[in-house]
Amino acid sequence: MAAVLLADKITHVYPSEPGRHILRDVSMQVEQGEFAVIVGRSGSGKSTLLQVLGTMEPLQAGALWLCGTEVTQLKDDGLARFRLQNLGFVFQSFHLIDSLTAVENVRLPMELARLPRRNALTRASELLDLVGLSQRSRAFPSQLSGGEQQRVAIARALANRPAMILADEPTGNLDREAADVVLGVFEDLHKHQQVTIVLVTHDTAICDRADTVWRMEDGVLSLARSIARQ
Amino acid sequence: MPIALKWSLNSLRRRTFRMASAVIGVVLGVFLAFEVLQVAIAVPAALGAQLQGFYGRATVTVNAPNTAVSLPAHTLAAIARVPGVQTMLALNVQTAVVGRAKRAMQLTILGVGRTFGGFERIFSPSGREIDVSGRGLVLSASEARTLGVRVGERVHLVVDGRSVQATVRGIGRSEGALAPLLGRHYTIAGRGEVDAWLGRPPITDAVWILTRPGADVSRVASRIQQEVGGLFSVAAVADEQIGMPHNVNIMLEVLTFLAALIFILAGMMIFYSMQVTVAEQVGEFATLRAIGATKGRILRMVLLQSFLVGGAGIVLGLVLGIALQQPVLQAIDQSGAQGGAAGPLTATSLVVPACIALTTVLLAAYAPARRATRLEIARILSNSHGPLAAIAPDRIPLVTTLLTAIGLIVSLVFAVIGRWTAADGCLVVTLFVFYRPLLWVSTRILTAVSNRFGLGRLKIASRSVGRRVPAAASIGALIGVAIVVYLSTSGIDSAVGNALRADAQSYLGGAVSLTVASNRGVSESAINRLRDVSGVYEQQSAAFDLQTSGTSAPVSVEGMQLPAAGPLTSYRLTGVSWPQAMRQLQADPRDVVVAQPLMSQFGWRVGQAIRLPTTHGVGVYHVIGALPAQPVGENDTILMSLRAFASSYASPLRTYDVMLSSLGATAAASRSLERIARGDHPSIVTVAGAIASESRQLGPVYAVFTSLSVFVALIALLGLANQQTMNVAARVQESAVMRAIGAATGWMTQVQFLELLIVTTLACWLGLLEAAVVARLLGRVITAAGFPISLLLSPVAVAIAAVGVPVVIAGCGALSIGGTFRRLRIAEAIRYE
Ligand SMILES: Nc1ncnc2c1ncn2[C@@H]1O[C@H](COP(=O)(O)OP(=O)(O)O)[C@@H](O)[C@H]1O
Ligand SMILES: [Mg+2]
Repeated sequence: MAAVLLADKITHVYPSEPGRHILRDVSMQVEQGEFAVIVGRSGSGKSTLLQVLGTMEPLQAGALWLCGTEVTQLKDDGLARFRLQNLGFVFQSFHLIDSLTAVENVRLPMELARLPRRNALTRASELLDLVGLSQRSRAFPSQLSGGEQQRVAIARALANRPAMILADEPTGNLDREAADVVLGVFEDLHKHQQVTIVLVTHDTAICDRADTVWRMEDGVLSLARSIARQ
Repeated sequence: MPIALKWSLNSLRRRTFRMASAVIGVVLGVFLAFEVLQVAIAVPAALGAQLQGFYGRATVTVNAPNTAVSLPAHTLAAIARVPGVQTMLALNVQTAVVGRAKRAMQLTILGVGRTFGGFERIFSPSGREIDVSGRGLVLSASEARTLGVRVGERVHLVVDGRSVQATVRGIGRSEGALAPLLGRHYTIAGRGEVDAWLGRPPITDAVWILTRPGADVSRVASRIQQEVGGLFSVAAVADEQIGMPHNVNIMLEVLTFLAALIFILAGMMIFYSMQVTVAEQVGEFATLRAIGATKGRILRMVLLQSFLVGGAGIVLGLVLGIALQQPVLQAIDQSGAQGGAAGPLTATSLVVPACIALTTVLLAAYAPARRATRLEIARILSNSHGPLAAIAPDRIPLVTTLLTAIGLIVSLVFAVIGRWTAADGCLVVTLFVFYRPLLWVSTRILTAVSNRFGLGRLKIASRSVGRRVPAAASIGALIGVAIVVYLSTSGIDSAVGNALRADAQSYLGGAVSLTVASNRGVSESAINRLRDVSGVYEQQSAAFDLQTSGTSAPVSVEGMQLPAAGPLTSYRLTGVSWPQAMRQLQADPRDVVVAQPLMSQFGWRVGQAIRLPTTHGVGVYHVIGALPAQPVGENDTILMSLRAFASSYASPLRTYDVMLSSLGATAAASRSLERIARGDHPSIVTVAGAIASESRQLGPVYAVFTSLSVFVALIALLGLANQQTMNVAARVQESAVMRAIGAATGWMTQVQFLELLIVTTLACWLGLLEAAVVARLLGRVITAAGFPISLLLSPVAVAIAAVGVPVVIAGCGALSIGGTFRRLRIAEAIRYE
């Protein structure tokens, strides 16, 4: 099975604090269709890792292959295009575009990828349907609850059929119930659509749903549990 | 609709106020640029049409220089014989005094020479053609107003001492356009009429010639030049630019200047608006970047926003321009110049303002757009302090600090070596572009001070000021611009206004024209008192001739510099040769040379003794020779040596053209001028009427300028208010958190007031600094353009800007924030974090 993500000895230091290693020799592998969870205490470097993996933070040391591409080969706009085609992001605070409706938020990446309008519309409503929000497609983010917003964000992340979804504390801003719905969506995607997911959380309860669990401690990543997949 | 477009529109809609003020800026700029271009097209067209109507399709002109010489009849005949000449119109200029009984004024009568030509096409103010083929007069519009005569009335004229009567057949459209060609006042009379009045052929000082179709105009012109000799200037009309009347020119310059100012202002507004908008949307841009939008894409999205602002402004500006075209031309028309009818819309006046506006908008938005593409995506998306905090840098980049230092040092160096303009320019750029380090340093000092003294509220306020440096800088820039606008519009009013006024008044003959005619001398003290009348702006006195009262008709006497008698010497004298005449005139102060028309008028002969009035009574002079023709102008009729002239005419008749500094002062000033003149000189001939009504004609022009400056100031104010609103909006979340942890509204309002006070004080000081430098620079540029002006703020204004404005703005801001605090629904505001 092909590795969608292959990280080798990634080290990260924020320039504002040169002495402090946020990531130390992090190596990691995620297979096609895998649901990987990274847990760790707040401040342990999970978000930083996800940002490095998501090509939003520059790679300082080590190597990173995403979908078989060595990302250090890509420059700024190359990376943007790469993200557009291959990665989907879900953030803790949703980051939907306030002035666009739910369906427009979902269409946005497709428009960036120059998908024909008709196809984009159909796909956007399909995706909203998938996350159970087909009724709310014309609502603006401010009219949606946190859970609904996060589901729109997931639909948006799926827009261009990414090879992998990176989610940073997607339930961090949600209550238990909404969090369960969102996690249910992730699980569904994983089970029925074979979407590769890397999810960062400090909530160990999520680990049960994952194939692989990684533990982050002070910038050191270790494999905690791995379920062999049939 | 593409999502990018929709996103731009929505984002603009959510910032209506800010964007509306930017749009207004573009609208005004486009409107002004459009009018400038339309006027620049319409006025020369109207002028050209009238000139054509006036003298047909003349292709060669012959003009007498200022030496006041007449074209002799034999030269005219020679011109007529030049091959290629089809018809010619000789202009005859003769001075007459009209309406002696009531209000008197001097008129220049344009008689008619060989052909009647274009004179048959004279237009009334309503555009109706006036028939002047019969006997009668056509008065210029301004004369008719001054004399209070209407078409059909009979007027009395005194021409060469003869009293004649004539019917006013028509009133010319406006002498404004023709004034540069014709002198101040003109009256057109038929040929027979002028001949009858004068009892001799009129004087010719200009000829307009129509060449045969196909003739080589420049060859004809050079042939004519050979005929008339070096005394007269011959020009092919094609070479002559139809000049824009001077006051229209000034107006166009002012409008252009204002348009440029407004474009700069609009550009700055857009720059700062987009800067703040980008800051507000930083989260959205970062998200877009995260999900894969390229830098170019983000750049285009931001530029699209400003393009929409610019597009709306351009469309509205052009619509406004087209709608107000007629009133603007009317205002110009009423100022005495030829405004002309609203011209057809030209592609130039539509496209050029649009292009300038578009360029301004895109240039202004480019830097903020670039900023939107260079975001630290990861940091912004994971930051929980809100997007604004994420982009306000904690540290100023070293390059910026270095460039600021270099900018300051270079301008200092320029100042030391005395290159002030360069120094100012350098300082302006440094202040406007690299404002951050300066503000950063001052906030650091503030923070250090408040830390030192541990003042709770001040401490909190000054810390958060550090995060508001961009806002402070933009407020500062806007205040700076507002001050500069204030200074330059008031400066324009005084400098350009004076130039315009002087220009208008001088061509109207001065607001008040005094003719003091006394043979007994005019005392210096009287002249000084005339000068001291309040409201008198400029006074030109000309002591050019003496209209004697000893003879039945006024004659002019001119003293001449004998060794250099000038162009007159090209005329052959009757009875004596020039060298001999020179010698005799110099030797005997009683010898004179008289122009032939005067000789025949009074029946004088060469060798005869004549009696002329002098300052000391009637003197006896001896005619030693005659000039063949009477040179043009009021001078030169009787020539004597300068020495003789000075001893006999110690105080020649003087004419005062008094211009008033303020339009409102005309009536009062003219009364006191009249009192002084009459009190000193009982024998005064006339105080020609105050031309108050003429001055009032300028009213609409000033109304246009005044409303424009109000508009400009308004834009600057809108920008300020706008900043304030944004400030309030940006604080909501923060305030909600404070409320949540138990801060009282009053306490928070106080902190807010302090913070705003610090921000606006810093901003106003920066603004003052910027304004001072820009104003100096502007003042120098305008002065170089010919309008002496110094743009300086009074100490009171400085104090108001430095202390009053910050306190008022901070007060209002704190009040409105206080209101927001009370209405704040905490849960809603902090739900997002
Ligand atoms: N932009 C930054 N500059 C400096 N330090 C940072 C930055 N972002 C995060 N950090 C630090 O890096 C450490 C790891 O942060 P983060 O990756 O967000 O942890 P987590 O997501 O596991 O809570 C934290 O101590 C945090 O303070
Ligand atoms: Mg985190």
